[in-house]
Parts: sequence; C-alpha cells; structure tokens
Amino acid sequence: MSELAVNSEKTRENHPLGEYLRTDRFPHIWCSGCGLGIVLSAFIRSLLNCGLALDKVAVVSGIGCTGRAAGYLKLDSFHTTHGRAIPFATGLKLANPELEVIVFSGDGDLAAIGGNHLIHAGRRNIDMTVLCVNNFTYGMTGGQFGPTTPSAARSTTSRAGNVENPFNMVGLAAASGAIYVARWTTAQVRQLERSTTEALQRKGFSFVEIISPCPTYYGRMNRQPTGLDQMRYYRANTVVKHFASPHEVGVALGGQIVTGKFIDTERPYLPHPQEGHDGA
Amino acid sequence: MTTDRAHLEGEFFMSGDEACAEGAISAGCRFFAGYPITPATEIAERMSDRLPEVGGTYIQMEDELASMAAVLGASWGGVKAMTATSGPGFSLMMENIGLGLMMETPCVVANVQRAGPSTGLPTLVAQGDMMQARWGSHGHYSIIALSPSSPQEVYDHAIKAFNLSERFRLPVLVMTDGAVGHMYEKVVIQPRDKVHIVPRRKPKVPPGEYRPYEPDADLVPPMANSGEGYRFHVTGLTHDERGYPAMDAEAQDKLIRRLVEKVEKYSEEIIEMEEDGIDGAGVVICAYGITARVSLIAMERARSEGISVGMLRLVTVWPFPQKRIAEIARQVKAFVVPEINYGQISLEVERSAGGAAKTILVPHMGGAVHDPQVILEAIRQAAK
Amino acid sequence: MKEWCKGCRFCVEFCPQHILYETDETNSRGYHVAAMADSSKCIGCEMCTMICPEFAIHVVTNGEEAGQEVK
Repeated sequence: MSELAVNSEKTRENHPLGEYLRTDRFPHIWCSGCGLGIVLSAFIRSLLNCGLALDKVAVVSGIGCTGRAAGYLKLDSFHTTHGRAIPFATGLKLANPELEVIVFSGDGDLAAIGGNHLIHAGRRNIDMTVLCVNNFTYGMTGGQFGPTTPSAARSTTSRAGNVENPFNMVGLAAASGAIYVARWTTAQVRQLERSTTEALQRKGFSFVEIISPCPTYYGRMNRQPTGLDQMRYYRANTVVKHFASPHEVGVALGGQIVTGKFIDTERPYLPHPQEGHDGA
Repeated sequence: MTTDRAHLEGEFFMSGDEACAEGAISAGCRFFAGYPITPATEIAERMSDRLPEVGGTYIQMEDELASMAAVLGASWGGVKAMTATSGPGFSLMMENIGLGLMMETPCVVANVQRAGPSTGLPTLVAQGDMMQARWGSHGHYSIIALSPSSPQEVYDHAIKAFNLSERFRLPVLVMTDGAVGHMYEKVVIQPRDKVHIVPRRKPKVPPGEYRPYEPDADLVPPMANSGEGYRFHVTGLTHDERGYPAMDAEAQDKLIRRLVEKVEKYSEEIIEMEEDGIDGAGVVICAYGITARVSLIAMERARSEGISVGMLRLVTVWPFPQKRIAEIARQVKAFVVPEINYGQISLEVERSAGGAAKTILVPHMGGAVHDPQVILEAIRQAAK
Repeated sequence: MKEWCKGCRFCVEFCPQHILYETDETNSRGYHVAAMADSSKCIGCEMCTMICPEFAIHVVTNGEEAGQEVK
C-alpha cells in the first residue's frame, strides 16, 4: 500500500499547472463531475505547447458556469456580460493585435444570447480562439434547456422534453466562416489538448466545441446523474470522423457523438497583418 | 495648415458630428466601434476615414450592443476608445455601459439625440435621453455626461470627455442632439500644445503587487492594460480590490460606495456651467444643448421688455449642479427650464431649488427646436 | 491535493493501469478521496492528471516532492 501524499502547501503549488492558476481561489466552484476543470487543464497545457508569451495572452469569458473559467487563470482575464465575450474580445484584439485572445465560454452564452456576435466574428474571421464548452444546459441558472439542448431532452424548463431543435455548434461555426472548427468531449483529453493547441496556432477565427458533463442538471434530468455516467456515455458513443461534413454532425439525445477536426483552412483575417503590425 | 493628421490645427467649417470625431482624435482616441444610426452616422463615417490615417481602428459591429462591448475591450487593450449612437442604440448599450462602470473602463459614448421613444423621428432633434443617460443601466451608480451646444463645443467636449474618462476611470457620455450634430459652424482647433490631454493612470507597483481595484487617495484605481504582464482579472461581478468575485453585501457596500463617491466627491471639479446675468435677475433660464442657444433669443427679447432675466447653461448635466441651483433659488423668483422633452432636467432643477423658487418647464415633444416666443412667454409669466 | 478532490472518480475510471481507487477517507468537504493501490504499476502517463477536473492529482517520479502519489 503506498503512502498518501501529504496535504501540504508545497503540494498545492507543485501541481504542474499550479503557477498558471489562481490557486488562492481553489477549490473552484464547479460541481463534482463537471467537465470544466478538464477543459481548463487542457487549455493551459495547450498554451504551454504553443510557447506563447503568457503576458500577451488574454482570456475573455461571458456569464455562466464556463464564464467563471477566466477568473481561475493567472493571465489577463475578463469576465464580461452574458453573450458579449466575443465582441469584447474583438475590441481587445483589434486594439492590441499582439495579444493572443481566447474566448472561453458556454453554449448558452455563445449560441443563445451571444449567437449574433458568434456568427459575425466568424464572418469577419477575427483572429481569436473560441472554446465553447457545451454541457447542453444553463448550469449556473439551474438547468434550463438552451440552444444546443437535444430535442426531447428534459430540463427545468422543458420537463416534458425539449420541443425545440438544437443548434449543431460545429455546423453553425463552419457556416459563419470559422477557419478551424473541431469538437471533442472531455473524455478525449489528449485530442482536446492537441486540437486546442492547433486552434491557438491558427490565424483567424478558430472554434473548438467541447462536450462536457453537467451532472447536477442536464445529466440528472436525463438518466445520467453523475459526471462519470456521462463520461462513460461519451466513451461508449463517440466516434472520430475528421473532416466529416460539419452540417451532419448534430448531437441527438442518446445518439452518437461525432468528434474530430471538421474545418482547417485559411482565409484573410482581421486585424490585417500589415495593419495589425503583429508578426507573420 | 498642419500636416499632423492626429491633430488638425486650424479653422474649419464642420458639423457637430464631424467635430465629435476630430475632437476624439485630438484627444488620442484610436478606436471606434459603432453602428450606423441617424443622426450620428457622420461621426462613424468620419472616424472610418480618419482613424486609419492615425494608426487607429474603425470597426462597424453587428449592433450597438456589440459596439459598446468592443469599445470596452479596446480600452482594456490599452487604447482610448469610443462609440457614437442615438436613442435606439443608446438603449442597446445600457447593459455594457454598466459593465464599463463596474469594470471602471475609460471610454466615451456620444449620443446624438433624436426624437423618441422607439424609432420616433430619426432625423429630428430631441433631448429625451437625459434621464436615461443618468439611470439607464441597472443598479445604482454615478456617471458623467456633458451637453455641447455647438460644433465647437462638441469638439471641445469630446476631448473633455476622454480626459474625464481617464481621470475618473469610467465611461463618459457626450449628450449632444440632432440639431447640433447636423449643424455646420466654425470650429477652431488650437495648436497641439494648447490642448490638455489626460493620459491613462498607470500602476505604480510591479505586476506581482498590482490590484486592479485598489484605489488611490482620490478613490480612482490605476489601470493596467492587457499585455503588460500585470495578469489582472476584472469582472462585472461585485469584486474585491484584487478583482476577484466577492459575493456578499460587505463587498457590495465597499465597491458601490466608491464607484459613486469617486464622481460625487469631485463633482465641483467636474461640473461646468456658463452664467449670464444671474446676479440680480428675477428669473433664470436653465438650459442645455441646442435649447440653450434658442433661449438666448428669448432672453434678449425679455430683457428688451425690461424683465430682469439671466441664463444658467449646463455644460455638464451629470453630476447635476444642485448646489449652485439651490444658491440661485434663494435669489430668484423662478427658473424657466426649456428642454426638448416633457420634463427631465426640470425635475432636477425643481429638486435642487427645494421650493425656494418656482420651476417652470417649457416642454417640447421633439422634432424641432423651441419657438423662442414660447420661452419668452414663460419668462413673462415667471416674472409676474 | 486531497482537499481539492471532489470524489468524481474520473481518475479511477480513466487510469489505464486501474491502480487508482476511491477510499473511505473523506476530505473536509465530505468527498471520498481517490488514492493509488500499487504505485509500481504506474506508467506515468498522466491520464489522471489530465482527466482530473479539480487539479487535485498529478504524477510525481520517485524521490520528487510528495504529490498525490508517493513511493
């Protein structure tokens, strides 16, 4: 039997990613079994993979469970209003093109109230990376259905089952003009890290959707009461189909989850390099 | 004539809207995000021409709400930033103006007011957004709003607004109107060294010790820009000095009190008025914006009829000069308050006068400026 | 980092060597903390570190400062 680690202050600091986290704010507020910590961890590792000057990295979050992500990162971080992370980030990037700007927000924030800004940032191909953590619900406000909640799924505002059709975030991002579009689940941590690293390296609007468990609301109301249930479900029902048509990878309740990299192309982006005086 | 595109020293024949853009550029504004809306579009048009000339950025966002968010982002990117709109857009900007107040983000919002509510009279003058300027966003806060009466003043107020926004670290509103915005007059741009520009107040401590909301003695915190290594966190949530969310009444009390006091405590420094013949006057006209100029005609006619009447022109509307109004109220019979709405600033005058003098509103529903004769009639009544 | 563990058992599930398990020991917040059964089988793949949403576990090699696992 091995000895258990001593719960010392030193231990807290020497987590490999400890120096990039506001550990004075830990443990974080996300529920047991929520996938957000996994995405945050993968994101930090991706930043390190890119060898970015962390002083030049800015993370913008909107409102919602994912909205709290920026606050846990020891970087320039902005916690803006609901749905408005992308236009805030647009201003930040255009005013200071040297910055590597990342929007780290949730499905409700980005696709419902913020949907208009998402598609316009994609159209303009603003040079930023959007990490959209999709847990199919509004977790912070208590489990209502959102723009990505599968039809028939239950929620606190669709107890008899969601009657609406959801967005397929990958299709939406691709249609708006994003030059890098990928989807992973929190059970695919290595692919998620590799893909986030690629997204950060691309010049233009990069979009990574990360399907993540919400045990407290979405899972509990749809027969997967723990994070582990949902993670097991992901592992059993996920396939990887790189460059599949982004418009045919919708997520149905209980159905297959198609993951992978769907778009990886180039297009003129904003700010224009010569005008934006950032390196090639 | 100067070749310095960042400061077009000289004399020009300009509209209020164009003067707004030039004033902003002279003040160091290098980012404009906006959305076309009559009667403010000319500000955006001029900015789209001029900003690229000075290494600035113009972006036309998908709506005014996004424009306000982009302005906040740009300001945190280290650039002086503004937007310009009219009533409908101003309403869309309210939530993010609130974010700008909570994050304490210097920026400028010009509102070229038109007749409302709703679509109203898109091309015609009004002054109906004055209370919205003060209380439009949710929650309790203080804000600064200027009210220019001529293209020259729009130019001057754009500079004043940026200076105030950097000095007090908050959004500052330039509440002009469709008449001044579309009126062409001489605008004189002083030599650059005569124009006082307030730079951003930078942190005096190294990154490790910087707290984005630790105020200086004057209740205003120094501001780091993104990309300088301060690795700060700012949020629209109620927060402590470190910028960390603080979800309790104690943090709320400390924060909101400071956000209000940092303006109200320095209202003497902020408030600007223009006075004409107030001492010994029986009646004082209290007006702002385009209506202040129309009132001059009424005042001259009244004086020619032997009525002792003075004029108090509000250059800053918020914070409101309640002390000065209270003083004058003790010397005069009545205030005559003409404004192109059905009574907004008149309420503040009445409140400040505290019953010591009458307050007579001369309303106008919008779409045109007052007929001076109507103001004159009110002055006659007041003088009885 | 026992205190940060929220007992989600992702590490237990995803450890390819299946050497992590949920203990009866609870931290101050009442979560059952995970622990390692046989550190000799640990291949240092860091799956536990990456899959942990709480940053509560990471791999340490022999002789390094004590992490969640120690020899």
